Amino acid sequence: MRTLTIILLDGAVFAAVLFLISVGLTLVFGVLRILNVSHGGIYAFGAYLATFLALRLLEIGGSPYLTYLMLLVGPVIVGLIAGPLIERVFLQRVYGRAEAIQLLLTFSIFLILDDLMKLIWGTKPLFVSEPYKLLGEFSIAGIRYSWYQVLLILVSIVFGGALVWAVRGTRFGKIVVSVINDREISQAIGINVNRIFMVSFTLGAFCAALGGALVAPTIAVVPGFAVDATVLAFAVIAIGGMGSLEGAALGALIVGLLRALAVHLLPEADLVVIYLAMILVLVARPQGLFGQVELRRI
Amino acid sequence: MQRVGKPRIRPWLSLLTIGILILAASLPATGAPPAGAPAELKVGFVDFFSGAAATFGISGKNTAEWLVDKWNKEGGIRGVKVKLVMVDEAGGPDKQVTEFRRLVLDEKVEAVVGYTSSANCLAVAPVAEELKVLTVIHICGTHRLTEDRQIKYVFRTSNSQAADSVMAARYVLAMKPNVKTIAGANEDYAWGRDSWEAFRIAIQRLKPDVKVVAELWTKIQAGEYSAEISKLLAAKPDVIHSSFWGGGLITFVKQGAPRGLLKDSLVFFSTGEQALQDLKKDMPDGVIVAPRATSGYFLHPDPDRNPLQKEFVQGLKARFDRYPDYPAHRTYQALAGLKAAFEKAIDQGGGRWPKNEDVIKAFEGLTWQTPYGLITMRPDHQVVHDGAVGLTKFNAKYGFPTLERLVAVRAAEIMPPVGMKTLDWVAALKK
Repeated sequence: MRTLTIILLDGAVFAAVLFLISVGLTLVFGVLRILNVSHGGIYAFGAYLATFLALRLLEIGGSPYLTYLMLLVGPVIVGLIAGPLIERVFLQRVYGRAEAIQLLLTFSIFLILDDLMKLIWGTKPLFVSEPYKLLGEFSIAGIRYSWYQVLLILVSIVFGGALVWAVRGTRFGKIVVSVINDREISQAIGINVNRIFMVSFTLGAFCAALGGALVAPTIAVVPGFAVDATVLAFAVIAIGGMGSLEGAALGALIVGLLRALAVHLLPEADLVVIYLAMILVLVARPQGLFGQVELRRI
Repeated sequence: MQRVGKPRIRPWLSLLTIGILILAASLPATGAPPAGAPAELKVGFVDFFSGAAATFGISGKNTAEWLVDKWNKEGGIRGVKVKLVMVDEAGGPDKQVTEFRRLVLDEKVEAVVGYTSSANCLAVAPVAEELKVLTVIHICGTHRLTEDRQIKYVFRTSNSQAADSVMAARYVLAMKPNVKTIAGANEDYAWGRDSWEAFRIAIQRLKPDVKVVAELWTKIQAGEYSAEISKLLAAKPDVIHSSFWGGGLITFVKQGAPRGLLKDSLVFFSTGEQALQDLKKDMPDGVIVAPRATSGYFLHPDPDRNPLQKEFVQGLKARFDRYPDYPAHRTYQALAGLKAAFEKAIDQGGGRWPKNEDVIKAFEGLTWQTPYGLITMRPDHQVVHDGAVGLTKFNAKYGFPTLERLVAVRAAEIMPPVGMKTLDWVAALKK
């Protein structure tokens, strides 16, 4: 029972991190039908900028509690700049083109962002601990956990819920769903599809940057740290179904719990278990757990 | 009529002579370069300048640039300036083999120094032998480099990885003689596996009743260690061994320290010294950290009593705002060894610029000066030296933890003698 409690909590913590990393990726794929590899770069940019702002704030003698605000300000800035810039300047040129071109383009943007971060922040590890440490710790089943880990779980549930509501329960969401279902008809009934694409991509970029910013207080932000996170995010949305918010949540939960199980019961399988789960799901259901089968349009 | 004064040449001549003398005194006494010397000595320097391991590579690169600039100001190697050709080690072994060939065939370097990754040094060594290029390995840890094959052109100027683990076992037993349980948290690739295996075998050899209660294998530079930390907290081992490095190590400490992991168990980090200047107050007191099994540490030997160490520590701090860490010390050892080998070969050749084979001959058995002290290249092309290890204690003077209760473990206690295989030696370890 004790081990089970620990496994569930560890699984939930990792699932929260995974959800924050992958939700923006699935959102962008759902609306724009583009596999956005640059997502990882925007995620890293969010982490870098939020950490940088929090550190600057502490340097000038600001209250450590204001560092939480920086974890929000950073992603807003990154989302508002990177979103429209990448979508308007680059992505709009490749809508409807071959997937390989789209992948190459977004991968190029990822590499450019990676170098840009090195130019701005260098190669030294950048990290801020205050947001993680300020909340303190608690004990459960004889093991100490940090309240920040619980905060990550809560934030991902609230954030995921807000996104589902935004897509299902608002006028904007209904327009987005209409664009997802049929771009041409949406355009014909007067929806500005280009604007929806730009807003959706900006929202996706904000999600990516927010994921990076919220994870940043628990890690060392160093060049290349986002590569693994990006690969994991792809595995999560492949399991859950690409383009599905619920799928991203379920995929994150499956991967998080499986990894926690492996670490506690079979550490040798730590690396393989995630991709084994992905293969099994894709063999049984190639479109992912929540994915829709897309009919070929003639 | 204009009166022309008597020319006063003598005072001007005296002034000119004094000026020339002062100028000459301030210039390095280079003399003529050796006969047959090239205009400059081109040396390839290969280390990680991108990716997660850049935290090591940039330290090595800074050291190389600082040291070569200093030499060149002093006249280079017997009047021949050294020129570094930098190559990024990121990209994997295949890319490094291609880069090595490019350095030799296109850039026409006379020697190559570097390689932090064991995979890369193992891949490059046979190519160095094939192309007959003097190659000085500065950091790569695998014992296989010098034990698996006969090498002629490849030299390693620092201890192999096994020394880190044996040093850890000896220090842990000295700190906690009644240790009963151990656990490992290491990355799931050759470095992590070899580090843990050598530590486990060594400590169980030195104290046979020690039990392993957890062995954890993470992805390289995994960003999330919550489950691993929970598992270690639940297992409550007396001692935890970890060879995590760079960003992964910082993340592990950041996530583990607030949860009490580094207080509940005695934790050893084999590369911990390298991260102390970054971790600052986030690294708790009382953690065993090592600059791997490296003799040099920025406070050992005491810079105030050792001019070379003082010059190195102050020079790097002034230029790069960072004290030398173990990649810096190991880079110094490698480059200083190369320079000393060239100088010995020039002397042995009667003042002529040496051929490649002459430098190799000079390198074998060579003893040279480092900030730590004298080190010697063994006939098997492997240097052995002492290793420093200590406990962290926050130091307000520096703003980060420094090593307390520092012990310099003797080379003979952590490295096998010439001709003995490392694994056989570890398996037969004696107190």
